[in-house]
This record gives sequence, C-alpha cells and structure tokens, in this order.
Amino acid sequence: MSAPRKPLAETLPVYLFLGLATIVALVPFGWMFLTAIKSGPEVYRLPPVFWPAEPTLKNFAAAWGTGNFPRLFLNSAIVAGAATLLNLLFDSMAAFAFARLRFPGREALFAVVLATMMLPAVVTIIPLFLIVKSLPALGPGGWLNTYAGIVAPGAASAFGIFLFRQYFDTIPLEIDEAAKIDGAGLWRIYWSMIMPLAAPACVTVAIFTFVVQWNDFLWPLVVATDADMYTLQVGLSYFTTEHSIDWPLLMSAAVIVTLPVLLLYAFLQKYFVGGLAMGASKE
Amino acid sequence: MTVARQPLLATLRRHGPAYLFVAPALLVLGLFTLAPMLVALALSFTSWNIVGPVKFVGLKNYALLLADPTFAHGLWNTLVYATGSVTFGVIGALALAIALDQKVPGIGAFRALLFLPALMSEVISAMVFQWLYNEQYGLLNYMLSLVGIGAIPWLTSTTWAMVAVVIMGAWVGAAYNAPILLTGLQSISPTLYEAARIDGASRWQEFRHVTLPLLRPFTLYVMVMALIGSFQVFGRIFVLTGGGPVDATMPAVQYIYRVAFTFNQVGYASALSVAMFLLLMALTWIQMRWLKEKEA
Amino acid sequence: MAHTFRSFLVGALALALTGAGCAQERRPAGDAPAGGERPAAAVTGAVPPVNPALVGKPATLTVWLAADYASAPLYQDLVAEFEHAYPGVTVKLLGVPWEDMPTKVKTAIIGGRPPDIAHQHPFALGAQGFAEPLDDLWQAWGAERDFLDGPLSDVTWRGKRYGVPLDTNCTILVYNRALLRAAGVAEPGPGYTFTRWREDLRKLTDPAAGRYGIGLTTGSWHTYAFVVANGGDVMAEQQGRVRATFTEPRTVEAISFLTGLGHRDHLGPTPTTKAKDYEDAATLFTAGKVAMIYTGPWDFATIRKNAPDLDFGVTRFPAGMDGQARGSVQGGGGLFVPLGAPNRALAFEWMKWAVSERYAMRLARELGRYPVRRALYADPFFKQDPAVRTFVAALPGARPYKLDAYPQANQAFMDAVKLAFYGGDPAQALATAERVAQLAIDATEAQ
Repeated sequence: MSAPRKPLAETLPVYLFLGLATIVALVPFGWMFLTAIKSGPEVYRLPPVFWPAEPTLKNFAAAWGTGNFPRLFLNSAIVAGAATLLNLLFDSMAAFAFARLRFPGREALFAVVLATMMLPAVVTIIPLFLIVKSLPALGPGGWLNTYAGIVAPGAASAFGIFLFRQYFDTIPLEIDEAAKIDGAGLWRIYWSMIMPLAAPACVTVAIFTFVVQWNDFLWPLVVATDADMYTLQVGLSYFTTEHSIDWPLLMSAAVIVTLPVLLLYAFLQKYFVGGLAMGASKE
Repeated sequence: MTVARQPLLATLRRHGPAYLFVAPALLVLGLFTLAPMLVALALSFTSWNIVGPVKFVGLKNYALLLADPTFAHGLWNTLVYATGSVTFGVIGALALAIALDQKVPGIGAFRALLFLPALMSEVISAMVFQWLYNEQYGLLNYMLSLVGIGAIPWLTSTTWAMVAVVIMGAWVGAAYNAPILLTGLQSISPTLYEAARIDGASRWQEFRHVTLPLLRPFTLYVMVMALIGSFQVFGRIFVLTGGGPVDATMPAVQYIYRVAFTFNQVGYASALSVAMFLLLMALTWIQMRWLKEKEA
Repeated sequence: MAHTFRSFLVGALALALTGAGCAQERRPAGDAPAGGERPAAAVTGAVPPVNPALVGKPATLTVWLAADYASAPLYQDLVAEFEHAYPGVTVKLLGVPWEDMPTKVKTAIIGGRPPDIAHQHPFALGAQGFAEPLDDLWQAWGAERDFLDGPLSDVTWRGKRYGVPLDTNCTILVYNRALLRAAGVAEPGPGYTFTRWREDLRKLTDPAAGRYGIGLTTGSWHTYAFVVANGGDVMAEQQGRVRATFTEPRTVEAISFLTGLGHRDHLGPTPTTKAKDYEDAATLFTAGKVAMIYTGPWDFATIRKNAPDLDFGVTRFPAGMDGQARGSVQGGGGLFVPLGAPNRALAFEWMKWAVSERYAMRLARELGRYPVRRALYADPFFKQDPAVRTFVAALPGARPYKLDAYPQANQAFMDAVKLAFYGGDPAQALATAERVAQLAIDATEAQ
C-alpha cells in the first residue's frame, strides 16, 4: 500500500467495523466447516461445541463416497462451465448489437429482454419442462435428461446482457469507426476490438453465471431422470431423509459443494470488484 | 403483399448482421423464458389439474385470485420481505462500501472476504442459518446469553420469523451490493471533496451533499435489482422457515408453487404468476420513477 | 391388542413355513451377484419365482426411490439380481428427495415420460389420479392376505389398490430414563394416558435449567397420532359423502391437549415450522434438553449414534383423555406405477421382489424400515431389541393419515394445527379449516 500512513485514531474504527462485518459475513461458513469436522455427538451438545475435541476429516471422505458424488461433481462442473461460456458469448454478442448497432426494434427487444428478469423460473417450470421435452434431435424425451437440457434454459441471461451493454457503452465508438474504415467486419470489431477491452465485464458475468448455475436445485432435479445426470445441489439431498438429517455428512458435502465457487472467486477476484458495478456505470 | 415484404427484406438485408448478433441470446430467452411465460399466460385462462383435460374458463381464475386471502397474504409477506431486505441490504452495503473505500493497509483482503456471503448457495446458507437461529440450541441465542440477553424466538414467533428472514436477506444483499457501491464511491472525483472541505463542510454535510447525490445512479441500480431479486425469493425462506410460523413468512412464490404442485391447480397457479409479474413490473416502474424524480 | 397380535404372528409363522416349503419359491443360489463384500443377510430369504410371462421381453424399468433408499446397497443388489432373473431387462434406479417426489412425478407425467415405479403414499397419488390401479395384478398374485392391514390401507383408495406397500412404522413415545429418574417420574407403560402424561411432563419441565418435558412438532402426520389416540378423526365417509371432521369433539380435544402442551402449559419449547421441524425435537432429545419425544423407530439408531450414553426407553403412544388404549399414526411408504408408465406388469414384479423376504429383511436390518408382511415378524431380529419389540407390538393399532388424498383439505388441517400451536383457539381454527376442507373435498368429488 503506497497510501500515506493515517493516524491510528482514524484507522482503528475502520478496522473494528470491518473486523466485525467480516465475522458476521463468515460465521455461516465457519459453522458449516466446524460441523463438517465434528463427530455426530458433538453436533448435538449444548451449549454448542465450537472446536471439536477430535476434529475429523472422515466425514468428507464419507460424503464423497456417497451415491456417485464424483460424477455429480463432474456434472456440476460441465453444466456450470458450459452455461458460463455460453453466457459470455451470447450475452456479449447481444449486448454488442444493443450498445453499438442501430436496427429497427432495438429498444423494444431490449425491453423484452429486461422483462424476462421479472418472473422466477419456479413458477413457469411446467411450461419450461414441456418445451424442453419437445425439442428435437436428442432422443424420444427431447432434451430431457441431457446436459443440453439442463444448460439450455440458462445459456443466456437478461442480467448478463444488461451488464455487458452498460460496459460496452463506456467504450468510445471511435474504435468501431476506425476499424470500419480499415475494412473490418462487425464480427472482427466485436471479437478483436471490443471483447479484449471487456475483461472486467466478462469476469463478472462469468462469476455470476457460474454461481447461479452451480447452486441451482429445482431445474436439474426435475429435468434429470438418471442418477448420472444429477448435479451436486441435488446430491446434497442424499443426506436428508424423510425423517432425519445427518448434519456432519451434509455439512461436509456442503463444504465440497461450496469450495469450487470460492476457488473460482479467489482466482478471478482481482478483476471482479470493478466489473460488478458497471450495471450502474451509465445513467 | 410485395409492398409489405419489400421493406422487410430491405431491413433484413441492411440490418441482418445486427439481428444475427442478438439472435442466439434472444432465441434462448425467447424459448426458455418468454415462451414459458406466454404458455403460463395462456394457461391462466384455463382450469387444469394435470391429469384431466385443459378447460377454458375465461377470467374465472383472475376473479378468484382477487378474493384469495392467502395470495394477498403471500404478496404482503413478499412486500415486507422486499422492503426490509432491500432497505437493510442497501444500507448495509453502503456502510460496507464506505469502510472499504478507506485507504488502510489490508483493505484488499476485507474487500475479497466481505463478498463471500453472495457466493453461498441459498439452500446451504438457509440450513446453516437454521442452526444459528434455533431458539434452544442456536449459536445466536447462545452468544446473546453470554451478554445477558434472553433467548429470542427467532423462528418460533410470527413477528421474529420475518425479522430472521429479513436479516438473512440483508446478509446476502449487503455483501452482494457493497462492491457496486464501492465502485460508485471510487468514481467520485476527490477534487469535489476538497472543494467541499474548503467551503467548511462537515463530514456529514460532505456525505449528504457530495457522496449521496453522486452515488445515486449506483443506488438506483442496486435498489431496482434488489427489489426484483427479493420478489423471486423462494428456496431460502422455504428451507429456513417453511414459510411459517402460520404462513407468517410465506412469500407469494411459495404459494404459487404450492397451488401448482400440491393442489394440482396449474391454471390458477398460472394466473397467480401473471398477477405477480404485472405487480413487479409496476413496482419496478414506480421505483425507478420515484428515484429518478428525487434526482431531478 | 397384544394378544391379537400374537395370534397374528402364530398364524403368520405357519404361513411362512408352508411358503418356505413351496417348491416354486426361489431359494438363494450360491452365486451372489458381483459387487464386493456384503452382509451375510444378503443371501438369506426367498425372492419371488420368475414370472414366465415376462421372461425374454427386453425392457428398461425406471425406478424412482427416496434418495436414502436408492443409495442403499440392498437395492443395488436387488437390481442386479432382478436383471439376472429377467435377461434383457435393465433397471434404472434413481434417488429422489422424498419431499420432492410428487413434484418430480407430476412433471414427468405432464411431459409424458413417467417412471415405471415411484415411491410415496400410493393412496394419495391414486386419489389424485397420478397412479395406475393395480387390482388385476394383485388378484393374479393372490398374496394380499400376507400383508398387514395398515400398510395395505396406505396403498388403497376407494377400494382400489394403487401400489404395493414397502415398509411401515408408527409413532411411539421415547423417553430419557435418567431425566425421568432425576425428576422422580415412573417410567410410562401400559395404561399411560394423556392426563398422566401431562402431569409427568410438568415434573420434568424446568425452564430455568433449560429443560423441558417434551419435544413438540407441528406436522399434521405427527399430530394425527394424538387424534387417533383420543378416538377422533379428521375425515369420515357418511352415506357416500366424504366429510371433514375436524370439529368432532374428540379431535378438538386432542389438538387442544397437544398444542396446549406448548403455549399454554409451557412443557415443551415452541416448535419451528420449517419443513422438518421434528428434527429439532429429536436434536433436543439427543442433547438431553427434553425428556420425551413422540417419534418413530427410525430415531432409535440416530439417538444411539449421536448420544451413545443416553439411556432411553420406549413405550406405546399414550391413551387419550378417556384412558382407552387405541394406538397412534401409521407411517411408511409404498411403491406405485405413475399414470401412463409403460411397463406396468414388470413394475409390479419388481415391487414383489422389493417386499420379498430377502429384501424386506435387509431393509429392516440395514435401514431400520420395517416389513409390511406379517410372516416376516416371526424373524428373531424383531425380538432382540426391546425398543423394536415395543414398536412392533404397537404397529397393529396404528392408523394411516389419509387426509392428503385431498391436498387442500390437508393444507387446511395443517394450517389450523399450526395456528393452534402459536396460540390460536383450536376449536375456532379447526372450525374455519373444516369449512375450507369441505369445500375442497366437495370440489374434488364433483370432478
């Protein structure tokens, strides 16, 4: 930090506040992790046990060995990864046209895009299921029970288009004009001129798409009809039964489910914070 | 016919590439979001119990929903939750953003860590909050007991349950929105603060007359998005309270889900969805008008 | 009651013996299917004979079981053995969270791709039109008399059989011996009534020490045990018309008693209303914070695992206010064929295997889920553990909760019970709910 040193009287309250806020933010993570390394009896002791007497990692092994967890892990990675790549491409392409090209119906189409944000998928899941089932080419059940069927409904998002559009608006139009004079086509302008400048937007859309897809529960549950097509979030339900919940196992599985998202964030974090705000960058 | 087609063809020829750029995203959104919404709209004029035939009933479902106390109650809960979680989420985010804007050593680590709540899956976070909130053995009441505060019935009283749900919503909301407002703060030119200081403005006046007005586009964005998000809340509350006690925290979406999948009334559930969609559109519009007016 | 049950067992034992002598019952061969080590129990007990009508017909059988069942080794073995017995048949086993099963099945039916077998309360799905009637297959099988009446009733609606029961249970009373001793309370046994129960709970409750008599739960199924014990009911068929009977005096009395234990008498902590609120009661019991819970046999293993030092006793669900012993609520699940599923006959064959001696006993031993066929209770396994013995003896008195044949009526009852738990007047709440429920029932019947 190259900032000049500030007096303690000024920094101390900042640290106190941030320290407290960090504790509040992280307590659920801590509790999840501590429960995961406890033995069964310690989970149920009162007053609550914080650090277990004999921390154990065997719950992680047990959770990993339940059902076909490695396969579910792979499925989640494929689904969330594919959805992320498709969103990066489709959302930025659409946003490029909305931000930098003039065509009839532009604002009307954009309004329709925004309107799709207004209804949660939960309430339209029956029509969605019927549509995915009747898509051609992948078998008698349409796209049911396929990666394509799980990914497709989330392959583009209004939020992503909106964020990319806002970001593209901040890039000077002269770049496109200069490129046009040089004889560049629209695709080249989009792919080689604009996208390289949009790294923060890409990182933000990538993180959000990945997190949303990784954490989705209801759609993968409904559309997958094969245990091998389930995702991790659905797999979490292996640890709850009609009558009981195995907390240490469930929380171990929750740690396994949460870790990849945290790792992805750790990698991309540097670029992320700036990109998130671009939705508001132009008003 | 040819007269009408000619301009269309010409338009397509001239703007074809632009349409090609929007086509993939619009195809996805159209097929998987818009089309289901239109099917729901069509179903909203029918009565369908899944195994029987689809019967056209005109506006009957809409007449029913106007007199449905449970739906009204669900909408009310959604509004209370939205108001609470948006307000506290945004205030919390603003406080965090201001603290994170201080140039002190180690601030980068705080910025990274304070975003983590936005990454936890809603099902997992709600399950953990269940433990934290438990009246008898929860961590929260245990901590309160250490400082001499009696047990709070977080999830076992109709009033406290909504508080508990709102706190959980604000916990995510503050983390999610803080980076956005932080960027907003950083976009304010330091010269403006210097000018204010020369004019002898206090810290509060500075905040009130420089920071807040210049941050408005960011707060507007954050509030609109948070409102839309809070209207869709479902899994989080369902896991934490099941919508209870006595439906005290049941959001409209949960009621719609129940009508469709427990009561098998798909037509009626569709009408409820349409009503909620229209209501959210109207609210978003009012909110944007209101916040923009304040700006002017 | 105990006497009748014993005569059941004697009869059942005789039946089992003759059954075992039958040449057509397939005895386990020496060659266990591949798949690593397995408990010795894996190769004992009969499975049904191969149905010649179904041999040589290739098919894919899709089976959706509750997630914890589907991931149990015994069903993997069943699938392997079934596929071996019916060459050309592939069984696809899928675990589905118990509470999400109806949603998933209904969506699949809408999409025209239902599984061949699903797992839930068959009578409820049959009543709503989501399950295929299986009476012809039951008749051809001719094994109906082997089944306990309660579980059979769980697959039956209006005289039609919509599935095969898989396992059964009922609520009993579980108590912490040490806490009872400390409070000078005698262990409950035969002749225990609501009134005495409440007196004991008073002695066991010490809010200052954070200790309560009972762990409460608000679910309608758990609550129905109190209604049954008190001689009431929530639904009755009179002259062909189904009536919601929430306001029947004995029903109101039972709900008042139960909900009053919480907010009026403060003998148990206020329950939450999350989807699995009975989990809180079990957690408090395990932690020694409540002295008694009303629960099912599934908690025996959980308590032993999570509180190895806790000495607990088990007794039948107490009798109601009038002191007459009646029983409690029956649980368990069954298998059914969702509407429009393609392989009805083969599906039924698989169900027969699932309730065969070999796999029903493994279900009991490995997952703690109890059989639905009388003869199996002759097995010494059910006599080893006093807790299990008590539960088994209580089974015949249990009555299934059938209101969820009408989901809206069920919701209304649930809402009324919860309202009463949070201080609402039980009689008034039940009266309002009864009107709502009756409207919903009439609307369903009119269709």
